[in-house]
Amino acid sequence: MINLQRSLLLFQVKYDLGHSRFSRNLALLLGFNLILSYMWFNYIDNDFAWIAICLNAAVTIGGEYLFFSDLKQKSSLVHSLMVPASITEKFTVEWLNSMLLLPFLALLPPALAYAAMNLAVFDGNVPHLTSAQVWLQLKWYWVVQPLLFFGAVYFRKFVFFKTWGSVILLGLVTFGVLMGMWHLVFEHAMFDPRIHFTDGQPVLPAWLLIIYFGFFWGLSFICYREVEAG
Amino acid sequence: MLVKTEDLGFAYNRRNQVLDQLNIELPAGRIAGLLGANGTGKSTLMQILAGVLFPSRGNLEVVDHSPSARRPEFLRNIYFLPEETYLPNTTGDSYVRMFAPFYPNFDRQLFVDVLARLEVRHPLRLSDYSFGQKKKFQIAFAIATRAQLLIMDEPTNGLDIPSKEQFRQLLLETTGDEQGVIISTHQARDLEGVIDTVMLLDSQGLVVRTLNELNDCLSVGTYAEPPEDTLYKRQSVNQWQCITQHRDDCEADIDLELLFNAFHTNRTNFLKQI
Repeated sequence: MINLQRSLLLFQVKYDLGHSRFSRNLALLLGFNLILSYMWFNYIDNDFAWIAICLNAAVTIGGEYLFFSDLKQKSSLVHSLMVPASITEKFTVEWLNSMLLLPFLALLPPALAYAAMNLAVFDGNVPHLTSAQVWLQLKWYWVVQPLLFFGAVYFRKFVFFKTWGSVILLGLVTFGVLMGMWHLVFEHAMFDPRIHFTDGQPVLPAWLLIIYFGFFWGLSFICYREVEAG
Repeated sequence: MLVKTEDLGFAYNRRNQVLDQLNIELPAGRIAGLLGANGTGKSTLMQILAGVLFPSRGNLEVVDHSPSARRPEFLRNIYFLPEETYLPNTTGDSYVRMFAPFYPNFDRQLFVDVLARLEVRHPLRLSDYSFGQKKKFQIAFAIATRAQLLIMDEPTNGLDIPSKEQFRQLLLETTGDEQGVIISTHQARDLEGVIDTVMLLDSQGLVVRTLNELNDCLSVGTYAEPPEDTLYKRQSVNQWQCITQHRDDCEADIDLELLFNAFHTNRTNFLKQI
């Protein structure tokens, strides 16, 4: 079972060791987002969509760097495996970090940049962010998280590229197989692989989401339990 | 028993069998030296004992736990110092503040004392340490955890000569009756006067004996001409240092280098003698 005291100690270790790198990344993102805000407000529509792109790119690239970062080198992997806490505790701390703390922290730079640029340069004439817009970005992040989380444990290095490369490859193969099967069964009928969207969000049944999240988180845990230094 | 293995085996793949049918019984209170040639699997064995590698077959119990389960009760009772050191980019003080609470028996005063004896400047950032200083810092931390079993892979690698001597002294002074230490090294001389048990590893298996047992079977002496029952001889100026069958007239302690070379080059006769 999970020992709360040890888990808190693990959190403390994670942030004591990671905060300087994380702060540096946040500062960089803030600068990057300030420039983008200015360009967007000046030249493009004042929609929040660009923040979605920035946030997701930042969190997924930054996130893959921060998820299970100890697994990337053999020496740090051994050090991490030997810390006297259970596998479940170490996994849970990583999971909570990636699910709750990381996305909220990473949402700060684009939101701050947006607000700062709006007030300082455009005298607040650009509409302020709404909670629905922010919520939408978080949901997008949470949909991507199980994939990258699994990729971080499975691939350990170059996680972003390997994970998305695998997803694209598997997607193409699955699409090809499905299309082939469709034509075999229905002959001349059109194959429609599109996911239907409502208000910009894909409509997926709840059971499919549960399977998706459960599958990748479960697989991540199994892989993490089996991690070796060899 | 601190360590008990039965028919332990490990293979990286079907063609690369590293360890096969190893049987070890190491009681508490022992300081064991693991000696072996390059590539015989010393580091692999240590990693298996520490639980960072899983054995391919056989049974294994270390401080009454299965290492591969990696339970906290197991991990806080052993400390594994790998050959390749890793210390995060932080200060020594904050490292101790972060990781010492995981070890219930951690002795901060002992840690400070050991660092002082090894002449490590404590307030520096760990990333600014030299390789040898990193090793010393980790040795100090390992000793201060008061773990039941210390597993050290090449701990003297990178240590200067005075520090090697301090390391030997520290092990003798700080290892309690309930504790045990396993040290691997290529430099057998680094362990002389410290270990009481020898673990000799080669591609054909592992031999574990106490030095007392070996002293009862073997002798080391200096001769003008090597005797017939010599297991291994080393030439020095106008004489031979030889390891032979036990002789009552030889009182010299077993020389670990001669012992290992006798095992390595003359395995069959060596095993007959012991």
